[in-house]
Parts: sequence; C-alpha cells; structure tokens
Amino acid sequence: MTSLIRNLDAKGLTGLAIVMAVALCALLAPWIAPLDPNRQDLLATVAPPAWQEGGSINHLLGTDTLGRDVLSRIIYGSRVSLLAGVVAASGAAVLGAVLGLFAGYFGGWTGTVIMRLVDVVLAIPFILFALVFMTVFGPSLVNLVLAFILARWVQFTRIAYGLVLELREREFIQACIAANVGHLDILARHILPNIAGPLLVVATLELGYVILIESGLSFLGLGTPPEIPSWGGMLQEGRSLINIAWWMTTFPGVAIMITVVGFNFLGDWMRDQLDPRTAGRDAVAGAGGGVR
Amino acid sequence: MSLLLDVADLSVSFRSGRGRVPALRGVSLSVKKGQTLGVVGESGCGKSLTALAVMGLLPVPDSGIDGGSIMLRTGGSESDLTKTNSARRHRGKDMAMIFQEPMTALNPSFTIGEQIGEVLRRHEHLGRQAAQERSIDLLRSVGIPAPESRIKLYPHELSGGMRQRAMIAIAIACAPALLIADEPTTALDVTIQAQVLDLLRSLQSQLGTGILFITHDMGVIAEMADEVAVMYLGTVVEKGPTASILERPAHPYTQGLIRSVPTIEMSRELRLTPIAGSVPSLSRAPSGCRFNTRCPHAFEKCREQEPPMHVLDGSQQAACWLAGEL
Amino acid sequence: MTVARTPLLSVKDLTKHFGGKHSLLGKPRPIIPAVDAFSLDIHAGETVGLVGESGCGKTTAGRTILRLLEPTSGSVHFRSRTYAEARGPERADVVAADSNELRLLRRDMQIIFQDPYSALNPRLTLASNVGEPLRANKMGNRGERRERVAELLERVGLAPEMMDRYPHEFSGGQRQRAVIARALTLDPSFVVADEAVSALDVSIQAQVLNILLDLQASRNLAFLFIAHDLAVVKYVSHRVAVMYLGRVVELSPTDELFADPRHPYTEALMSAVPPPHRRKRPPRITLAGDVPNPAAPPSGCHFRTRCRYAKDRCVSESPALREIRPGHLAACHYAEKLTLRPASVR
Repeated sequence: MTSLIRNLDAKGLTGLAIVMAVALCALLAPWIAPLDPNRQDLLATVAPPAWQEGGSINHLLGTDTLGRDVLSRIIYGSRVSLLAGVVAASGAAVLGAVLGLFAGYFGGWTGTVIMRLVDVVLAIPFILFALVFMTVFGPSLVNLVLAFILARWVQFTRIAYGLVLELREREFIQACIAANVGHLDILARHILPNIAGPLLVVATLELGYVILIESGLSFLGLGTPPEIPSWGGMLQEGRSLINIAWWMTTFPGVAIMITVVGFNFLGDWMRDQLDPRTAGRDAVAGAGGGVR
Repeated sequence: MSLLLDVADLSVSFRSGRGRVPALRGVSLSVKKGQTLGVVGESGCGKSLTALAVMGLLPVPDSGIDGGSIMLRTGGSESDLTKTNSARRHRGKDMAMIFQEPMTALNPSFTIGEQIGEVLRRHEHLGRQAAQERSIDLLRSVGIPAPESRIKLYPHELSGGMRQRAMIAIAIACAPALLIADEPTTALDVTIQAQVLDLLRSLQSQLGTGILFITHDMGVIAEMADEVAVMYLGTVVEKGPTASILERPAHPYTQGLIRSVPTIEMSRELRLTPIAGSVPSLSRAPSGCRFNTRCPHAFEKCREQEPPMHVLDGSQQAACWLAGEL
Repeated sequence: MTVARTPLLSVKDLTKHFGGKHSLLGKPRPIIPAVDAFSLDIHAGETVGLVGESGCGKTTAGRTILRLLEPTSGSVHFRSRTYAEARGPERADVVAADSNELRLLRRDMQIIFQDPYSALNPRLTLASNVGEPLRANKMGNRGERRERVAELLERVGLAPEMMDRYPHEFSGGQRQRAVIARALTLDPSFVVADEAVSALDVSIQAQVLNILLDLQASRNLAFLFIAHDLAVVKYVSHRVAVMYLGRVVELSPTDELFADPRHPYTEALMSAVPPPHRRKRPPRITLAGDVPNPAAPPSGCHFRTRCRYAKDRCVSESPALREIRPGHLAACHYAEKLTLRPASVR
C-alpha cells in the first residue's frame, strides 16, 4: 500500500482526489450542503449564481424553477450518481467477467451459448431495454442499477472472452496445465490478473455511462423519483430553460464530467499499478536483448 | 570494383525518457556494385537500424542521425542519403528493401498484382496494362508458378515462401542498384530458405544488384556474402572478405560468435564455447571497448579506451587492441 | 544407449486430428491429420531429436504425448516414479489415464517452450513462476519452496537474489533459463523441449544448450528435443526422428543419420542447411515447391510431390516405417536402393 502511494503520478493523484471528493460529498451531504435540497424558495426561483446580477449569496450556484438550491442539489445528487455508478458498473463487471472467463477458458458448448447470448443482448438498444424494464418494474434507483447490470455485462464478457482466448494459448498457461495447476487456480492466479487492467478501464467508462443514462431516464420520468436529487434529473429539469438559466444544466453537467474524468484517471492509474511492467517504471531498464 | 553504397562514420541515436541513447556509433561500411555485404550480429547490435538509416526509414521523431554520411552512387551521380528527402527520392527506384516478415510488409488488402503494379506505375510511369504484364514477368522471374493467376491473390492466400518471393518481386520491380535484405529467410523453413537464397543470387547475377544482407546466421553469411561486417552494440567490430573472416576471425566477438554455433560437421564430443553473459542494453553500454564486459581477453586498456579499426593483412579490419595477436 | 531395460516412454501409433467437429451454428471444419501413427521409444537419460519443417506436426506430437492436446488414438506408456509409488504398476498409459492418474504421471514429465516472453506469467515474480509447479502439487511450505527455487535458479545460472523480480526485468536468455528451472522443479525424468533455444541469440543459445546437456548428465533426464535447426539437434541428440506432414519418415542414431541418410527428405533437409564456412561442397539439392496442404496430403508417400526419386509406386502405396538396419528406420520404398548424399563432411 505504501508503495502504491509512492507510485502516485499526477494523473493518479488527480483521479484519486476527485473520486475522494465526490465520495466525501456523498457521505457528508447533510453537513456540507448549505440548504435542504428539496426546500423550495418560491420567492427566489430561477435565481442566477451569486456572482451574477440578481444573484444572492444564499444560493451560490443559483436556484431552479422551484427555487431549490442548485449547489445543495448537486452535493446530494452525488449520492445517486456514485451509488448507481459504482454498484451498477462493478455489478456488470463481476457478472460479465466471470461469464467471459468461463466461456473463454472452457469454451465448448456452454461457451458458445454464452457468447450467442452476448450477441443477442448486444443487439438490443440499451435505452429501449431500460425503458421497458423501468416501465414494468417501476422507476427506482434499485431497478435502474438492475437494468444496467442486466444489459451491460455483455461489454465485459466480450472483452474478457477475447483476452482469455488469446491468453489461453500462451505458453505459461500450457505450462500450468502440464504442472497440474488446477483450472480454478489458473483462472484466478494466471488469467484474471492478466485481464484485470482492460476490464478496469471498461468499468470506469461504464461508470460514466450509468450516470448519463440515469439522466436520460429521469428526463422520461423513468429515472430516480424527483424527490431524490440526481445530476441527471437536474440536467433534464433545466434542459428547457437552457437559454435563460444556463446554471441549471451547466453545473450538474460539470459535476458529471469531473466525476467521470476522475474515475477514468483513477482507472488508468490502477491498471498501470496492476501491471508490473509499468508499476515501477525505473525497474524496466536493463531488460536487454538476448532474443532475436 | 566501384563503391555503390558508402556509409561513413554514421551515428544514430534514440530519444528516451532519460535523454538520448546512442544506437549506432561511427558505423562505416560499404557495398560494391554487384556484390553482397553481409551484416551479422545479435539482437540490439544495430544491423537493422543501419538498414533503416540507409533507406531513410528511421522512426521519426524518436530517432535521428547525429553524424556521418551515407553516399549512394548510381548512374554517374552521387547523393548523400542523410540529407532531408534524399533517401525518399531513391527509394523504390534505386534502392529497395526486403523484410523478414513478408506478411507484415505486404499490404493485406491489395492483391499481389496491385502492389507490384503500384511500384511500376509510380516509378516507371507504366500504364495499367503494361504494369500488369510486367508484374506477371516479375513474378515469373522470382519463380512463382502460374503468375497470371497469382497476381489476383491477396498476401494471405500465398504460402510463406511465396509471399517472400512476391516481396522480392516488388523490390526488384525497378531493377534497383541496391537491395537491402533484412533477415529475409529467418522466418522460412530451411528448404524454402534454400530456394530464396538461390533466387537472390541468380537475380544478383542477372541485374548486377548490390546487396546489403542482414542476418544472424553464419551459414547464410558464408553462402551469400562477398564481404562481412560484424556488429556489436551499435559499432562495427570487424569487417573484411567473408572467407578470411570466417577462417581467421580477428575480433574476440567474431571468434565467440563462430564458436557458439553448432554445425552439422561438428563432432558430437565437442562442446560449444558460448560467449559469457548477455548483450547489455544500449543505455548501459560499457565504456571503452563495448565488448569488454564479455570478452575473455579484456584488460585494463579495453575498459578505458575504445579501440580503433586495425587493418590486418588483406582488407580485413578489426576494432580490437589485440587484433592480429589472438 | 539401447540397454535391455524397458524404455522410459513408449509412444505407439499416436494420432492427433484437428478439426472435423461441428461447432454450434458453425460450419464443419476439414479434418487435418496433424500427427499420423507416431511411434517412438525414449530411454532414460536419452535425447531424441525431432526435426521437420513448420507444419510437419512435431510440436503437436510433443504436446499430445504430454496430453496437453487430447490424442485421437494411440498410446503413450510412461514409467513414472510418482505413479508407481501411489498405484503400484511401474508403467501407465498417459492416454488412458483418468484425471487423478494423469496428475501423478505429469509430476514426472515436463515441457520447455520456445518463446521465453510468453512462457512466464508477467504478473508473477520469477520465484512464483518457477515455484508454481510445487505450489500446484502441494509440495513444501512457502519457505521450502523458495529454497528449492533458489537452488534451481542457481543450477541454471541465475542469481537467486533476482527471484523476486518480474519477468519483464530479465533478458530473453535469462527468461529461458527460468523456464528451464520451472520445468525441473518437480524433478521430472522426461522433458519435452519444444524449440527451446530457437528464439535465442546465438551466443545465448550456446549457453542454454550447454545447461541442458549438463542437467541431462547430472539428473539422467530424457529429452524429446523438438527443433527445426539440424545442427542444434545433432549437437544434443542421441537419436533423431525426421517428420514430414504428420509422419515420421526416418529415425536413426544421430551420427548414422547424418552419415548415411536413408530417406530422400532427410537428404534434402541436410543439404539445405548452409554450412558456416566457404569450403567446396556439392551443389545443394533444392526441393521444388512448398509443403502440401496438410488437410489434403498427397496419396501414397506424402513426400512424393517434392521427391526427385519418386516413382509410380510412391503414388499408389504408402511406405511403412521399417527397419533398414538395426535401430535405423526409414519410410521409403527404396530406402535400401537409393544412393543418398550424407550431410557435407569436412
């Protein structure tokens, strides 16, 4: 762990700082947020940010159409985004990676069935699937996460499958089989660590996608309920007023952007740390020739 | 015999995280008209880099020529290929290159005929019909059977040996004065290697091409080269006529290289005497003679001063303080 | 070498076909007979070289013997100490073994691969890579395993202090030594060396070859040494088998093979190797054309399409691998009659 911290580069540090900040917002929202996110101030609706003409110090980033404080809603919104993003992306990653490992390593009939299923799921537009799912089971955060996992595991399966197929033919895996290393051991010790990097990067990209999808569904009234503030919901509420009240969409948008970038940076850095070839960069020198 | 290619004191370096790493240091070698110079050495010795420098194909901006000259003499004129755009003007027309792995050197999405035709149309300004006829002739001359139908095939539809022949056909399309062959038979089986070596020799005698032949295989050197240059860690350590280098190697590295290779004639009781250690990375090249860390004869002076080329009898030269004594 | 004792390994009519099966919703693939009725005995402490051009089936043969590939038919009887201790009988058929029996047999047989870059797990340290067979077979605790790894690394000429580094920090030659050390951790009696030195630079290649020879002498190891380089095979092997298109075409003690080849393919193969000197030698026998498609090999003798001695009989009748002289087998109808050229002699 200490060596991990020592290896923090600018990118890793930025990513870690952003993710920690967002996590802290989510955790400590009631203490950090200046106002109740659902408190309506009908005397100050659509107020601009504090530094603009007509703005007030009470509403640092302005208010929305119901006079709710944008800053407070963004702070509370991080809870939904973070929870939905992390749970949905890691759920999809675990399910998808396990199925991909299994299909790629053992192959055969089950492997073929899994990969055909992947083809089918990939052919369904995700937004359509999410709409139907949320309509049938009702709009809630849990259902959103479930819909995401059920539809997005294929991204991980596809990538894991391809990587495993290539790795399986590598000679060190053959050497393991020749030395009586068990199949589960091969999967856990020899294959998973070698595909974890790319999967991690996909997971951070998917995480950003969940946050965006949540906003899309909220627009259709199928996302999280309006009393729970979420960045996506704020985006959609402000969409129609973008010409007069830019702050209603811009600030949640910036929050989404910063969070996604933070997770991507952190993912990239973690991938490098997982790989001994890039972990301690100084050690790389000295691996000279010897092979033509 | 007149010089076709004269590389003098060529230095090339790579940019890396920790500054510039010299990859070639004062390389001098020459190819005579219609003759073959074999360049031999292990991975990282700079033999392929030398070829790329001649062809003007050094990876930019990661590497650059720091000094020296590469003179190409064709058709009565002389040009320095280290000058900007100079190599590009001669590439394809006066000089061409054959690579080790034809599958990566050929474009997978064009037929063999289209790829030869492209060269002919660009450099010889032939029309489509004429180019196709010439392509068929060329494929026939490199020993590809039924060339009329083969020109319609894509690279992946040919066997390894046939692909290498197709690449040779592209390389000789404009009858270049200089052919650079970088390990052209390393990826091939011995029986196919034999075919390709035969082909290169017969093309050379027909066209009078000078060949710069890069390989790690002493047997191929013995078979193909009139003269040899032995490279180690970016320097030429020994050069001269093939026969004298193979019979009386003067540099300890050449000697070690020859003793490391098992031969079919060798008695089964003999043990190989390998060179100790392994090739250091370029960024950690030793001072003085670059071979001193692995040399059985190294002494004080070798670690301090880089030995110059000593001219031995005939035209054999070796960069060793003990040249002629070992 | 051929003492009266039963061989360590007896391969009988081993056959491996690829393809043929229907995959779900896929097209049936053509059957490729990669290895066809491969038979070979290897004695304890003996090295048998297996040579041939790419696609001849030599790598497949090596992996099928270890059952890294599932054989189509045939048998591989192997004398294993671990098997004898656990089950009683001295020899067992690797092909017929169930998974428990196979685990016992595999403790005594190992493989060294060609590519030192893909043969080590980049995410594990050298110690973990080399010690993996011990861990998998639950031998010793962590400390004991490290001790054993250190001893093995020293054996192949690597400093034990380097054992906690990762593969990328080593040169190709060093990695290949680690691969050899890993193959020796279980103290096997039989090792398949699949192009074990082909990817190495010549000066490193000689070092590794000498390590293999030393290990063989000190541990009475038997090797199946698979390589395409005839000179290397001659250097290490007691006997040599030559393969062409899935079949063994000649098998002979090494010196006799090079002095008196009895199959036209062996003759051409030896003639194609350029000797590393410039003395006069007879003109090379250049084989015309390429190796035929293994999915559709020629009728009769597989080599007949490229053989300069081929006659009508070779088209219709497949030659059996038969003993021409004691210990020297060749699969050619005219093995006794042909005057074939030996490898160029000084």
